[in-house]
Amino acid sequence: MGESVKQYSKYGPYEIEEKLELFFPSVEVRISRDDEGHFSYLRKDSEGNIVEKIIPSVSKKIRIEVAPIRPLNYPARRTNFVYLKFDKEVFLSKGASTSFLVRCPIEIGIFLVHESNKDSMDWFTCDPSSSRFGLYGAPDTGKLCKYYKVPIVKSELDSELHLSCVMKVSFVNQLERGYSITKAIFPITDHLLYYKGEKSQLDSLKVTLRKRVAVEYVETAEVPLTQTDWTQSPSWEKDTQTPSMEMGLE
Amino acid sequence: MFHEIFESLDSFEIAGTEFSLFNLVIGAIIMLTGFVIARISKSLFNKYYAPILPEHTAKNFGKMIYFGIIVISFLVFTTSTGIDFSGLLVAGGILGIVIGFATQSVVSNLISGIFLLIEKPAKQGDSIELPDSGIAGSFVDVNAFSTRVRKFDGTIMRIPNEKFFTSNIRVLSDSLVRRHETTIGIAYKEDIDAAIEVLKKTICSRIPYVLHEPEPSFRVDELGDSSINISIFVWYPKKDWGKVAPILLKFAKNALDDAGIEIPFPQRVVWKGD
Repeated sequence: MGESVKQYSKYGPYEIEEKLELFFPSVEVRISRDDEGHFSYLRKDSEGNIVEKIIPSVSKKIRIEVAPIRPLNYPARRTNFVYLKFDKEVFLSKGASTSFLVRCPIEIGIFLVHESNKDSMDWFTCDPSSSRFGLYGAPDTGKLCKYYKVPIVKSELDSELHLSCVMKVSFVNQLERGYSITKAIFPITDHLLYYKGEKSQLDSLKVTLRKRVAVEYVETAEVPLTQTDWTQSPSWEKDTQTPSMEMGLE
Repeated sequence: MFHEIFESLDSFEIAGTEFSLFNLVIGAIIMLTGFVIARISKSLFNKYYAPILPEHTAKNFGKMIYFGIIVISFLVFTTSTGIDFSGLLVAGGILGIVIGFATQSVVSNLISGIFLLIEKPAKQGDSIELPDSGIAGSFVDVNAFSTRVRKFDGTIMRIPNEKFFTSNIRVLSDSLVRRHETTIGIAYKEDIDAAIEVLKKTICSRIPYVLHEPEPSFRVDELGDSSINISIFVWYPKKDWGKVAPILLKFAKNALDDAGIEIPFPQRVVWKGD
């Protein structure tokens, strides 16, 4: 994988005057200037799907930023939760705590940079086959989540360019018994992504297993990354909303 | 001439209550003002606040504002004119019974409409089905006498409130996820486990809206006349019926074809005796 990864475009800002080609696993992006004031954007994936956009611009060059974003958009945005199924079971004895790193999938966001604004222009996934839905709980009261099977990794640098980031998960068992942990379900919209060169990281997750009276429950909390030399990814938000129709007098 | 008419209508009596023309004019102005304020208030609400509220909540609030202002205007009108309804109520008692019998279904629909607004069996935009009537579509709203359902073919079905209230209502979009079921047959000579494995692999990899938790399940449903029938159960997000159900059988058939697993069709062997 090492050689082929080198050919892919890295995260970060790009400035375009005439033409730019970006290469991702199974996706290519081309941005070029057609005539004065208009840039054209074209994204093509390995299945032949094409997305084209026109970017009007008053200046002769535009700036974009390629950054990892939360894996919530493919095949459609339906939830803010992710369901991470660990490839190995972690057993926590009574009163124990542990932390480990997991590889969490990402999607790629293309942002148009204008002064201090970073507008969400496009997004895509480089690994559509692993992006699926899962249900935690009952069909009427549970949580619909994006479902991913994730491996436990050893280093914070074990992320894969354009495919995954690394997240630290800490578990604290305050129950009166040992507990097997196989999955983590949490709202990923609380977590920020960071990148540096080809690597990316997600804010840590702290999970506390507690008991209140007779009820055992799980408390999750997001722990921000404190390292400052990583660049924070912009948050990708839907940029096209259906405008509400003005209602006149009836 | 107008002065004479005004003089003659200056004061008169209905059901023991004395009215003056001046009071009636004031009352009419109050009611008219009430209607105008109600309409303006509803329009302002619809313009500025309704878009940020859920559709059904916005519509109900709009109705509450409109009718609330009209009721208040009517109360102000009766207070200002000094109308005492006790006489009218007594006089209209018998007439009310007669009208009540004559308009039984109208009243029934009205009362059912009020109960439907209280119970809220479905929200605006929910996909619903009335199995007894064979009606399926998107719930539009509850009006004074009828409920409207937009059928999936785009037409609007008006259902009397009483009928809607007493019907079995299946809400298709209330749960987070829904399950779809379909059946496909394989030949008796084929390996059932291998066929299920092929189906599962294809469904999971080719249809992104199918849930992986709970994962697709399979059941040998019947040893049919010509085939072993396998039922396929898949879960999907409630909004995405159209991206799963219509294509599931197509992908299942293609997967079996690609794997060389025979999907038989009914055949009959006729032996001719000598």
